[in-house]
Amino acid sequence: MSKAFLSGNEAFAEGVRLAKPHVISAYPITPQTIVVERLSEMVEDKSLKSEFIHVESEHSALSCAMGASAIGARAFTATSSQGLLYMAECLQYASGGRFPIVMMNANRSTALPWNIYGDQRDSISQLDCGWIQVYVEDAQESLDMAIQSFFIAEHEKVSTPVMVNLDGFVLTHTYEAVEIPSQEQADKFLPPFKTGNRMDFDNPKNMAFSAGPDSNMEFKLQQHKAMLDSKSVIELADKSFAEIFGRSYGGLIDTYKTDDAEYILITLGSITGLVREVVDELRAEGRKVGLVKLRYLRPFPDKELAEAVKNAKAVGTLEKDISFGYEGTVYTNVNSALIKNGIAIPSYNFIAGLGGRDISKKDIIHMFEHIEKGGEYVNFIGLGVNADE
Amino acid sequence: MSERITAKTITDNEFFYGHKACAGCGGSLAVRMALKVLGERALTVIPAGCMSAVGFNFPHLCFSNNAIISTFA
Repeated sequence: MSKAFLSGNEAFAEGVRLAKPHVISAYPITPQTIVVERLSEMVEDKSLKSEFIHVESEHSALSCAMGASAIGARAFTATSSQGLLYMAECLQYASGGRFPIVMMNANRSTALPWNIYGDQRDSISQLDCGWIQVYVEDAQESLDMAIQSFFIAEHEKVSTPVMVNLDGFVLTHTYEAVEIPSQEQADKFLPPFKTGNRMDFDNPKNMAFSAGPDSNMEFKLQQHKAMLDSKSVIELADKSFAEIFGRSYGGLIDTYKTDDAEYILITLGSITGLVREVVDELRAEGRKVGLVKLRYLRPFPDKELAEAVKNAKAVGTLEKDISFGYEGTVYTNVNSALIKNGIAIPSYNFIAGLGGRDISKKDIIHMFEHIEKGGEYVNFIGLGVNADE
Repeated sequence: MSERITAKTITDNEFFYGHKACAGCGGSLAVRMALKVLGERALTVIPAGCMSAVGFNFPHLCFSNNAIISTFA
């Protein structure tokens, strides 16, 4: 184990190096570029023995990773924003084909208008594509989830691709002290990739086939069940990771001071760090507030979330996303989880940080005040103009 | 260099059969002959189109070698 000063992208690259993928195929896009640059340097200096394939597009990057996975190779790719949308066909292909690829996505706004800064509209717009989606908070969690994601994706009960989301710039380009585990630790945690879902000269397979109305639904049900089963594998990965590396992230969700909290803010990604600080400050004033960090959006931690907020008086969902014509998609999912679990409390939506707009401490304090006092259900935070103008 | 394959020496093994292509379909004959020449260790990758539509209808899978339909290019 060693310590280094790394950005989120660089920390993720270190995690991928420890996971030793056979094939890395990628196309550069801001703010993801550094992760693939570092990996190509590792391949060049032979500290990582992988086949690094420069492709001509994101569509090809994921198609190439699927080809690798179809012959039983561990495959990695990375993208962001327009690149993720450009590979949209391949996203559903990879999950339907049950290819356990790991992809890092640097969360970035989507055009139009063009914008390279961070929000979560790219990945959240692909929530239904059949990939496991995890959102990380800091550089250490980035590195750790690079390793854990291969464990989860490749587990025989799961066999589903995993997308690890890092907030663009705020996380991908921010430097922090990061512990780099040893190769021995990584090897102890992550077994070699073994699958029957592959081409084999002794037992040839026809893959990525058609399934008509008589069998299609059964394939889709199996895909859904594997995603639901991944919940137990996610918890197992967290526990097993903690035993070997000494760090636990709580599995599907992480909670902070929720036990006696009356007002809870639900977050995902890097903003969680600032919200945790605000919770401490408000607690010092005697206010009973808490925080739930959604680590996964798919599978959605419905029961875990309900359990964490069941004694609260009201909750709020903070997300860098809007589903035009309705509300934030995370909020829709949160409310569904509450209703299914018999929790009827006021629930508010805070849409913030679109196109990389800063979310301040003051903004978060206002969110907690809004949750406590009540008001509009769906709120845009930090607008430069009056919403009515 | 391997021996020249002729009509007399070409293998009787079939790698693409039982599919739903029309009788006499040129595409299916081309794939059938190509695979006889390439042999059982060939990996077949076919884009979405007639040959993938007629050859890969689960559970009716018609390649006896390893084969896959690719994504749209």
